[in-house]
Amino acid sequence: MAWLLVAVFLIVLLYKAGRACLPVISTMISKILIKESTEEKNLKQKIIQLRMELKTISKLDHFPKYARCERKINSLNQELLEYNKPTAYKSTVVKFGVQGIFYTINILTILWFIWRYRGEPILHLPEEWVWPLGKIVAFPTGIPGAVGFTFWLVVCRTVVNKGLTCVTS
Amino acid sequence: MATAMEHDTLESSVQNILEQKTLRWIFVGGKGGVGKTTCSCSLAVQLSKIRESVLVISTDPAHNISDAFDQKFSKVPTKVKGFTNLFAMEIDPNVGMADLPDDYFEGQQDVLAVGKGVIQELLGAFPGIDEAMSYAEVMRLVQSMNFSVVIFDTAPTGHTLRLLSFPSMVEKGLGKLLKIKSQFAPFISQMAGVMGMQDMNAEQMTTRLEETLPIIKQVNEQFRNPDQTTFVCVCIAEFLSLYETERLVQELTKMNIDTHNIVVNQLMFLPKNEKPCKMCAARHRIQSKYLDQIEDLYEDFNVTKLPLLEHEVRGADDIRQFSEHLVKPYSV
Repeated sequence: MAWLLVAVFLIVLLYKAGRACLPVISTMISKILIKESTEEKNLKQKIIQLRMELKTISKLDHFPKYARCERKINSLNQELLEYNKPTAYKSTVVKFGVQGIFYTINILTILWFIWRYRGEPILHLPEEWVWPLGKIVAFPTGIPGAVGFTFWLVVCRTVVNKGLTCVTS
Repeated sequence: MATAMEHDTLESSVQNILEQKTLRWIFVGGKGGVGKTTCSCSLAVQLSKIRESVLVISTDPAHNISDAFDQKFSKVPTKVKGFTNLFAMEIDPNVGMADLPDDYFEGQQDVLAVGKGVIQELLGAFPGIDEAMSYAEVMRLVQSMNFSVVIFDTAPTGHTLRLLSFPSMVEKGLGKLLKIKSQFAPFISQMAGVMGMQDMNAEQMTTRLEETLPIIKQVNEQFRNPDQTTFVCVCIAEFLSLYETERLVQELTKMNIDTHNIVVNQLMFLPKNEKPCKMCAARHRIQSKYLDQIEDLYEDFNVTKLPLLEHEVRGADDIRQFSEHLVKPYSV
């Protein structure tokens, strides 16, 4: 069943891609779910403004002014930390939630496939080609010369991993 | 030049420290060579006049208090000659943990030496834990001896901040270490049995850790209480020193440790009736510039100005004399 071959390959590819995108997705979701309060926004704005001002002051020539600006930035940062505490906790929860859902969906899909096609071979090869690993390759179908779903899954994963390492290096 | 807008500047002396009877811990710090030890000893002398008992501790491996008072001090509080209630002590933070295993391992068997080495390595891996244990011992000793006020002559800046952050850092570290201990204790005792040494060493150490943790927590709270703890920053009137002092002040503010005293040392006071030499005039000019910046930046601090004298300040008598400048502003 050719479509199965391709389908499994695509699933593995999607899984890898999804894993890479997870941090981005969880950040997007936390932005939607957790509303940044206006005070936090204002604080961040002020800090950015002060940082830009700091760049314009010369440390050597106007040290007291520079130091005062730094002190303001420090105290605003401390305030921001106070606001951040509950937010940080929520965003960790979201991150774990997203990861959990992703992995669960993935595992359930694979399991369903394995169960559904436990008797049917994906591919039927001549017996001589798969000797002597015939039994392993055919698992769990038991049909000699068949390529079982599990074996094909492993093959796809290896190929995708290798491909990714070649591409990224 | 009186100005109508001039706000009340705080007095230029450490009288505020002397008056604050609730103070128990005073840290005197600043980057190297500014005269920390002279200042801390002078402050100790002034405090000894009005407080019941004063202890000055040096954590600098260079052991300057012995030089300052011209008397040998050890890691046990020793009375300073010529005083009835002033004590001094010098601790080397690096020696702390090494003492314990040495006591226990009498017969130098190689396997035991390896075990001791491993434990030391393990403890050494936690940042500052050897110092921390040493300070914890000091705290325990000091708490039990009940000095009215303790002055820490702290080692130069980076070290200082590590010392001050150690209570909270070590609290976390010790807490984790104790958790690990309870998980590994059976394993360690088995291994110890195999190697033929009793596991008492691990037990002993961790019991000490458990005993020390509440003291560290208590000390941590006291350090962040402005009624009980303050930090005196010593500097000189030069750019780098000013920069370091500001960094120190900002770090202390972040750690919620009170600081409201700056001591500017080694200042050139020009003689009134003579014309100063070119060098002195030039130095005075440079220092005036930075002194103005200091007074501008630290307008809500007490800024005490100490002179650079023609002689060195060494020995109890010189320190006694010098300490008067902390309370009464110096004039030529």
